[in-house]
Amino acid sequence: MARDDELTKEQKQAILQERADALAQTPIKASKRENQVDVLEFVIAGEKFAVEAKYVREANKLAGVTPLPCTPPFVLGLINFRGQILALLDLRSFLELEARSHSSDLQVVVLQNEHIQSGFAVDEIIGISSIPENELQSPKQLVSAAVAPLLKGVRLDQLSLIDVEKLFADPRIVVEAMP
Amino acid sequence: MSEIDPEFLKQLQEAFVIEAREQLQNIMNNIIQLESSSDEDAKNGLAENILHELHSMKGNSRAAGITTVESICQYLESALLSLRRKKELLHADAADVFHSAIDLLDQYISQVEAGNADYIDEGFANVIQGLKYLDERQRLADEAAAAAALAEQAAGPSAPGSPPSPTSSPAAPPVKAAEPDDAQAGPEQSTSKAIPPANPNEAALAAPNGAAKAAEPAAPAQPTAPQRDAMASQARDAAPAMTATQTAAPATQKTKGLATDKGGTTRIALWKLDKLLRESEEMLILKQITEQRLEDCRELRTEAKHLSAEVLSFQRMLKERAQAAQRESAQGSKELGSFISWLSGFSETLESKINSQMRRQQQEQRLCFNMVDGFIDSVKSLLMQDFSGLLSVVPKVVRDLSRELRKDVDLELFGTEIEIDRRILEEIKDPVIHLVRNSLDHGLETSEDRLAAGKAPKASVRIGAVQNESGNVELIIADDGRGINTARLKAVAVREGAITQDEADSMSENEALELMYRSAVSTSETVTEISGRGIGMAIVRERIHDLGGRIIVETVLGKGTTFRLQLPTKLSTFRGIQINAAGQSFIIPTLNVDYAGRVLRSEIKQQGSRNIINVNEKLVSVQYLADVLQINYKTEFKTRAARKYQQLIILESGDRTAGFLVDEILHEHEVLVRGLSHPLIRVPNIAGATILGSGQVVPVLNVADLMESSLKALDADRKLTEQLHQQSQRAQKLSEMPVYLVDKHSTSLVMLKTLLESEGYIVNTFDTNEAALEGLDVDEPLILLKSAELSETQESGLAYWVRRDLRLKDIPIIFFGSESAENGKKASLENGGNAYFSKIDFDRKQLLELIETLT
Repeated sequence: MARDDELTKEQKQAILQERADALAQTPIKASKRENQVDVLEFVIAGEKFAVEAKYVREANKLAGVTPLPCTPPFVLGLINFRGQILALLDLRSFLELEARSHSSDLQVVVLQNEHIQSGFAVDEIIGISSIPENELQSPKQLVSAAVAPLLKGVRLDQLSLIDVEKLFADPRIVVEAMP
Repeated sequence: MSEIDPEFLKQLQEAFVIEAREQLQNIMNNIIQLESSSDEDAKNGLAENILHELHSMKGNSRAAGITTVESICQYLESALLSLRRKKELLHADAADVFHSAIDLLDQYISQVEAGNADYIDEGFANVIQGLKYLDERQRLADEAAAAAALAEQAAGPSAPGSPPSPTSSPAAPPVKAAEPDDAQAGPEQSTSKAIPPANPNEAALAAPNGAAKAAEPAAPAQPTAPQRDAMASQARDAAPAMTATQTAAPATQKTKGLATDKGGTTRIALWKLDKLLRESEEMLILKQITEQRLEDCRELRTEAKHLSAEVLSFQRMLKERAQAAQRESAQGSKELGSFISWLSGFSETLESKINSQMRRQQQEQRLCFNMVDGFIDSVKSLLMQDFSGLLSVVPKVVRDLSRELRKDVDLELFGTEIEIDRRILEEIKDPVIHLVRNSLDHGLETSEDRLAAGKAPKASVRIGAVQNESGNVELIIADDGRGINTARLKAVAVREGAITQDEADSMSENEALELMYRSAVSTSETVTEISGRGIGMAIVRERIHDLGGRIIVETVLGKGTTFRLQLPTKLSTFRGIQINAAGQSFIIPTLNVDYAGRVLRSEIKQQGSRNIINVNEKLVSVQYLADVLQINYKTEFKTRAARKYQQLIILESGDRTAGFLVDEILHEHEVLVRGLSHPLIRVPNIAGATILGSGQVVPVLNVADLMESSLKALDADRKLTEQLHQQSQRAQKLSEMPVYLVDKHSTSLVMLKTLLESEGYIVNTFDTNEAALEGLDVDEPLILLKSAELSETQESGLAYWVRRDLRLKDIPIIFFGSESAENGKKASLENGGNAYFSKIDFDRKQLLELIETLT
């Protein structure tokens, strides 16, 4: 505090400016290594998955879900996402994962592309990381034919990168039924 | 002229479409008036209006590169001028040609809107031909040109072909035709100027044309070729400049026109208004939040009261104990005593603070309600529009139909200045047209029939709006035709199998009129092209209902029929009733709710495979909502069938009515319904969802779907019947046997009594064991609820005697007291009780469930 008082207004301004400039810099790491893809990693039913970070609107604890009758089981219900009503979906059946119940404190990953916004239930959020694209293998030989189209690739440590565009476009997740 | 930027052209065309629609409407109305007018001055004025609109439409279409419209306008103009010169405004044949031209314009404008600015079909040539025929001079000129062409052809094969036909080269005729005609129009225009124009703007708008003429004041009737070219290029060069003024023109024109009588208006894009309305409606959540806060406050107050009561009873106990124990641990009890009296004072202060906080919140809530409602109301009033737009389409419909049906009709429009939400206007447009067509087709007789019935040969149809004292608007469609023949309605309904002959015979006049809204019933014996397909009226009524309106029919056989559409002036915000079914909350649109309240379980009767209840003399089928929604509810909700009172909600949609049993009927809310988002494209029975003040998301039910689903859920219905049957014994017990409530504290007696009675139990209260025992001599209670404070040991007391009595020994006994559940339980079980509940952490739901499981 005392030292701060000794600084002149100009000096303080200069320091602040310096800090602002530093913050304004684009992270050099990201721009230099072009073949990196930023992802959000999470766990569903004990297995690791990831989605490209650019699709992630938010990842957070589930505050409350309203069950919606007359929908297939993968629709867990509706959530209030900052005043917007979104569907909360459970990907386990599409990813052919064990259908054991979710842990009690569910996490929600809200994904969006240009047109669509939807919530997805996950058991645990690991965090953001970068994956070099050359570490990803084609999923074709590694997973079943039904799951492969939904994945962009699989990493050596069994992390599967979900293709969000394909997921959103998959007709199986659409609910359109008459009474 | 240089190539126009396609984007700019698109904008021009968009502007053109909007304006052309208005212009066309004006032209049409003026033509209809022109047909029926006999006064020469009035006719000239009307013709002037039409010419003015045609002229600006022609200019706009030229600028936007829509040559077909330009040509039609051009030919319409010259035909009209020619007719006016001959004082033949406007004989029926000419009017028919004009109307077909207008229809074609309408069609082409729609094509432009759809992006086909170059659209053309065979109608074009026909219409142009018809118009040319009306225009004598044009015809003569054409004939001369044709003769010249023939001569040319004869002279040498190097100039091939007849004059370009409009279809082969749509761009050619307007330019060619425009100049001579404009020139022809010259002298006439100047004479007509002697008549003061109705609208001062007219002069200004006529300017481009006037300017062109001023440049050539002495233009001969037949300009020479170079002159013609010069004028053409002049007109074309003027085009881009004109477009700028043209797009701006309507706005200023409107503003000026309205400024004189309404004090300034402006044009705002509809989507902006809609956005504003949507955003203003989002403010409804503020109302919900204040409601929620008040509710929180109420809860807080109840808890504070509870605290005060507990402190008081503890204080009393302490006093009693102090008296009994005398000096023992006097010091400790003194400290405790002073602490308790501080606590008592504190809880009182707390209570009064909460009370004043509640009052403040109530005031704030009122303020918030006033502000939000006022604001939303103001925004809604921005969306008000008068009836003139809707009613302006009527003359055309009436004219076309009356000619087609050969019925002579006098049309009167009124109340065009009355305003109503434009969304309502949009919704009622089709119903109104339907009713007008019905009226002309079925309602009105032919002139011969009218004469035979001793009526004036010309029928009269009155259509218009009136505002009634309650602020609602009534749209009236009245004719003086033959009236609705209810006997025939009944006969058709019987023939179609909609009702039996017996039913028909016992029907009142009003009931018979109701048949009109049934599908497949129409009085028209023959199905005509115009109406009589018998599907319309049901839809008409549904639309009006959906808007929150009503439709009333008054008819006198032989005298005429009047339809009154009672409409709200503003679309109401969505109101919905929140209900609980199988532990989940839902919102049901209030509009569809016919009845909501509790009914005696015993009133639900089985009829075949269905359950039926008679509510207000109406039989309604009854099902559990949770079953219809196929919710897999937990077992705790399965005991619901046993309750003496059931919560029933009767819904209606279209002509269907059905009853649904729910667990709880909560509040009515004003909510903003949002549609479900991807991937939930359509969910059966769910119309959308809303967010309540608490942040909770609640689904909104789709009542039409529910009706559909309820039919399919008949299987589940059968289950209900079985359940009801199984549980009926228990319910019988419930309805006859009292609950015994024994406690010396009257507060807890009253509280518990109220709670239990609200659940349909009969409650007898006693303040001592002895009084209760006396009662037991005559009664056999369902259950005993007894304060643990009343002395009870293993050798004496109420439970002791009950357990020893052969008749009463199986009656369940629940003890209650201020001990915690754990501590109290042991003593009560030892003393012959079946269960214990604590007043401290009192849970009303838990108590009710406890009673249900024990009895």
